[in-house]
Amino acid sequence: MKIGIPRGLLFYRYFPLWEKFFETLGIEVVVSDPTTEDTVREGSKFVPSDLCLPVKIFFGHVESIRQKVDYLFIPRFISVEPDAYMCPKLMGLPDMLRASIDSLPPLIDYPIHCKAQGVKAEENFYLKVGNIFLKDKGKVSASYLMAIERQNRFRLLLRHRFSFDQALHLSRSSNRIEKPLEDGKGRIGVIGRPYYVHDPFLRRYVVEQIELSRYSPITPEALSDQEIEKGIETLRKRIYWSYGKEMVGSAIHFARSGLVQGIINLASFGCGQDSFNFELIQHCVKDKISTLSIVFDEHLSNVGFSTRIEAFLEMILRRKNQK
Amino acid sequence: MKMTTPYLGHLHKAYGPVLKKAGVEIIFPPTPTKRTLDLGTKHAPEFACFPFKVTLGSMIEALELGADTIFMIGGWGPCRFGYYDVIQEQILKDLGYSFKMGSANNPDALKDMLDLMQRISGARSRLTLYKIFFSILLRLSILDWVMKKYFHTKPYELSPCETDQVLEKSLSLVESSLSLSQLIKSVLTISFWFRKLRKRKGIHPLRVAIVGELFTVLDPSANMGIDMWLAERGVEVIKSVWLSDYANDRFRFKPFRRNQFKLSSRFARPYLQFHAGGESIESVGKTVFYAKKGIDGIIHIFPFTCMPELVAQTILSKVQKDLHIPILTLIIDEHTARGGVETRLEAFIDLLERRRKRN
Repeated sequence: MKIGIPRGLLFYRYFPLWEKFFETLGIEVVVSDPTTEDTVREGSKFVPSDLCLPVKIFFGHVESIRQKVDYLFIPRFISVEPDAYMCPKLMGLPDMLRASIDSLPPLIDYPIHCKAQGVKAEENFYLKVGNIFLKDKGKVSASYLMAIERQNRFRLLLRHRFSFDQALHLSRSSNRIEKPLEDGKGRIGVIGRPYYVHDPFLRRYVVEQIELSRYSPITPEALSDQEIEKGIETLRKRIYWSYGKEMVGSAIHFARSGLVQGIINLASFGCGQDSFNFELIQHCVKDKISTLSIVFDEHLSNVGFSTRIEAFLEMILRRKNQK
Repeated sequence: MKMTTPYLGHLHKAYGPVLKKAGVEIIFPPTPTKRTLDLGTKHAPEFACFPFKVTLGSMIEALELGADTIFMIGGWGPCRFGYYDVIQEQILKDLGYSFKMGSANNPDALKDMLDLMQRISGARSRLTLYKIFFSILLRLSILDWVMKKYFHTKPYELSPCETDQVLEKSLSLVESSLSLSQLIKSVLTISFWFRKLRKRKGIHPLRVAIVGELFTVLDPSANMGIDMWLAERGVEVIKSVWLSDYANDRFRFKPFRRNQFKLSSRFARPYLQFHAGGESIESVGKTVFYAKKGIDGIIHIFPFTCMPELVAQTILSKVQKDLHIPILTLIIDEHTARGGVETRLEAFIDLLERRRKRN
């Protein structure tokens, strides 16, 4: 039995959980290869041109593994918190796939809707998924607990500012967590959804370039929930998007605490939520810290971005020297 | 307090007279023009959706006229609309305007809406608030009924512009009637007017449904009056969403009207199993519904970067293939020119006519 997990969207948030969960159930997990230009090209064939790049890439990943697996794991993420939604595109993702790609293997697309069903919804979802393969309820919930443990360890490693690949690798062993590399010249906050920040292709080597210039990048995942919560308390109205909350909260925290020297926002062209999130970020931090917003689309050239990042880092360095 | 609120379809005709009677001073923004949109576009975030830009422009123009309180409906997602008021307040305050922003955070709850009425009108008694709120809803549904009647009658009219005159008369009659008895009388008069119109017999006009995002389907500043344009060319127009239906799904004030959301969910089920925010369910469900009823074509209209409708668009491409129904997608942003839209509509109507002859 093989289950396919496309390397896109919430893969970058939940993969350790999924991997551990299916492995303990004795199911082989097949992950698509890292994103390339071909993935974008394949994915763009299926969907309207106005959809955002991460969704197109996701379609490309699905296309590349759909023939190799018995099931595709595409959960319908509606809300993972009682007071916040995910993106509408994630809510309709399984339906969009069914409408656009022919001859798909069966999709596992149960909804996760904590807003309607309470915080237990997430656990219930995994138990339901486990029951497809294994009727033994005790064993399924045991493997869910093990999977959660792995996920927590993974998030802890991200909190300690390991990169996604390192964290994924280290979460599999149970060695003690040690601090990763030193900060170098300073820290730069890289703010975006997990699927921008951790996909090396999608982020167009922005993070790599920051590292090459001997700055260390920090993502919202390096902050604790309390720190993010404190950040968004200042807003007049709570943000009702999970990732919006995370991004705006961490930007405000970064600006207030002086943890970073500058903030780089990553968004995709035409992202509806980020148009508002980044407006809020700009408004809340504009006189405290320098920000740079970078918007991606499917035109695949890195030169423009690297020039802008170079100039941005240069500016930060000069400001620091002036002080 | 001089209150204002941006336009949405003919909502202003419903609440205007009622609130004025309750002693509220209302400043209506000027009818949205190119300037409104330019103002909105200039100050809004680049990828904000079209309704955000138009309403922001309207707010600026109303503030220029001396309004000091803006009312805007809020919400709790997942569509961006629920966060409009916060971002708009922030932008306008940054521009240096001083005003108060009053928003109803949960338009689905009767309690919040009554609270909004209370803040607007200042009325103390609960009964008065109920009266105000439900008379607004009632007038809204009568206005929608008039529009539906117009779209239904227009293709059959014998002498040009007769129906338009009746429409104008009817709308102003509804606007001026305030009490329940006056409203009932006006409904009777209006149906008499429409019945009296001379109609052509033995023709079968094309039937086209406009589905999509609420604001672009209903507001002439967003859809550039394509509904009227189509009606003018002898096409019977049906709309998938009406404000009164939207309110009826939540407050059940029309006992004989079905819950449109549930109806759409049922028809959308094979294609879209969960409501992805906004009007995505209505767009998909109503398209299937109309297709099964044998409509000629569908126009799917929504603002650029609208998240729920993009989901619907992706799914509609499958519906189109399965049910053999022509769908024209119109994406509206601040650069959309009327000429381009009209050319596409003309081509679409030609296609539908030919298709009908062939079958």
